[in-house]
Amino acid sequence: MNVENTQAQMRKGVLEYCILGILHQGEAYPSEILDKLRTAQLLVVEGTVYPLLTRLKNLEVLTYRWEESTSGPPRKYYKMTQKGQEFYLELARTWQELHQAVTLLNQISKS
Amino acid sequence: MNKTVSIHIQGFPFILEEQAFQVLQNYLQALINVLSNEPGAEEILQDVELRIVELLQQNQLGASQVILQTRIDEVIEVLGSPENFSDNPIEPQAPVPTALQDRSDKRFFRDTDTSILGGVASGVAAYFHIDVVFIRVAFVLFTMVFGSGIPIYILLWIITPSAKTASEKLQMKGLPVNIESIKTEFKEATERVEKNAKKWSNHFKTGSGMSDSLRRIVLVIKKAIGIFLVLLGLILLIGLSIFIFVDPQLVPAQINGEYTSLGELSSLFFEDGQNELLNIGIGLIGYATSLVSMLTGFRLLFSFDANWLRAGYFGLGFAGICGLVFLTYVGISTGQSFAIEGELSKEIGTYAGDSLCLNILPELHIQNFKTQRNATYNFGFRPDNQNDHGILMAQDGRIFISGIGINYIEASDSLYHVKILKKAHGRSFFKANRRASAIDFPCVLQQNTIQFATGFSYPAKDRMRDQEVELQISVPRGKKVIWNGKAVYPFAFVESPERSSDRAYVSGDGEYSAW
Repeated sequence: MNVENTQAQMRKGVLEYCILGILHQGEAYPSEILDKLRTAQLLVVEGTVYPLLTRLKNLEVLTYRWEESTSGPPRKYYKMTQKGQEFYLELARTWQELHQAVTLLNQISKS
Repeated sequence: MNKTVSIHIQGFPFILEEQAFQVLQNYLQALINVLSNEPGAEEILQDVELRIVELLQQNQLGASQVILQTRIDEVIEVLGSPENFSDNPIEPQAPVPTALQDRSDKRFFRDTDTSILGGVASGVAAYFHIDVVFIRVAFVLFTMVFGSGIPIYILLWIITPSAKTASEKLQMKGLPVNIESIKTEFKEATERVEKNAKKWSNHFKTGSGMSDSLRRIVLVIKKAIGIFLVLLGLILLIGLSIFIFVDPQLVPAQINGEYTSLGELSSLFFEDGQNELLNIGIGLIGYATSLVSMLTGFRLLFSFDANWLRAGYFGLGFAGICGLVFLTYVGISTGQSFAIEGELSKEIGTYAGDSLCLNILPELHIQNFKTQRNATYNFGFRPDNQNDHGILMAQDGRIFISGIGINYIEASDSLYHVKILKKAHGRSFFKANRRASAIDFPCVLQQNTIQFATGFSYPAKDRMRDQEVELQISVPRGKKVIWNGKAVYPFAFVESPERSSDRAYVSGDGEYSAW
């Protein structure tokens, strides 16, 4: 049991919610998503994101379209589906509840 | 000093140091292993490869810059070790193969990079490491010979996945491979990619690649028609040459005791001069057609154009038209020589008895034919009635035709009258009659018996002009004609006894049949 592993697990747990959070604001391609996650210091390695995106796409939470890029390879622009919106709101509520629960627990143990 | 490897990742060319290539290769292979149970593994790999392209293109001075191992290490660090890709974090780390050379699993993929249609042939070629041209030709040949090429192709197209990722493309080509062969293969791939850069970008832009595949289908149809035309022309050329120069004896009619050839047969039919003209005409049309077919086929296959083509097509077209004119002339002229029918008749005798016997002698016909070969029957052997000698025989300048018609009519007096009718056609009444008179038909009336051969002959120089021989027998009312001990006239049909037949035919082997 090491700290790093647990940290990775926790990050991974919320990663899905965070990616959906980014896409809730609009279309984005993987590198954009990665940049944002990195800025938020949520990301250790990129490898976790790609399988997640494909899984969400297969669950019809996300959809994508190809777009040619002038500077590099073509980009996959991901977008949330109607089902995705509902899925995201569900997760957001759960996150809110978790957040409140953790805060509450901390307050109880302090007092 | 280090070797470099030219590769393309998702259609983008890179030059890697050999070491860097090995590391990248191992990494992608490890990803395949980790994602082996993942439903979207192919797509994830494609995404990762696109990301690798993106990362490698950052800080890169140009496509020609050699990528070192440290750069690959950096990229892998950013992407994370393979186990990060796994859904299940507790899953034990899949062992990373240390050397690709040890891997022996080879999978069959469709190679859509070099495909014409679905990449099946390219995939097969890649799997067996042979030139794709052989596979394509094999498919075409299978289609032509058994018609089975098309269903096999469609089946393989449906059941085989296409190689999308670089790793799959390597798997398709089959490992183990040594670094040299990878190098050459990737070099080819890079050249191809450069050539097809536009195609690739279109493919991604539209997302569906519909117009592209349509274009490919048109292309493959064009090529298939090209191959078909070339083969057709070739077969025609060879066939025609055989018939004109070898003139094989294939026709089941005997000339000088052997199977005859088309050339010999046509010389029995067409008059001198016209026969030659006919051969020239057929040759001109046939060679012109086969050359035009092959030329068009090659043009479809290799899409070339040249100034001499127009002149060539014109010349061949002219030759074909000349041939057509010759054929038309020979046809009309031969048709004219059938225009007038001549008929000669001669009564060979009368008989006053109560019944007339027919004595059909096929051996007479054959003997007549085989006068030159009588030695065959020296020891008293005679040919059987079943002797099969075909419809037409020709020997020593004479044509022998099997089959005699018999026509019964009611006599106006109380005598049997036997009459021989000889018929032939000609350009004029005179020529027709001269041909008819040249017919030799062995037939005698002795007492109560007509002895006659089952065929007749005439000089080959007369040509075949519908020569016929008919035996006309006038039978007094109430009297009979006997063959083989039973009455054949008046012949009563079993199903309609009141009807009698007044026509009969004697075939070459002596078989009598009423109409």
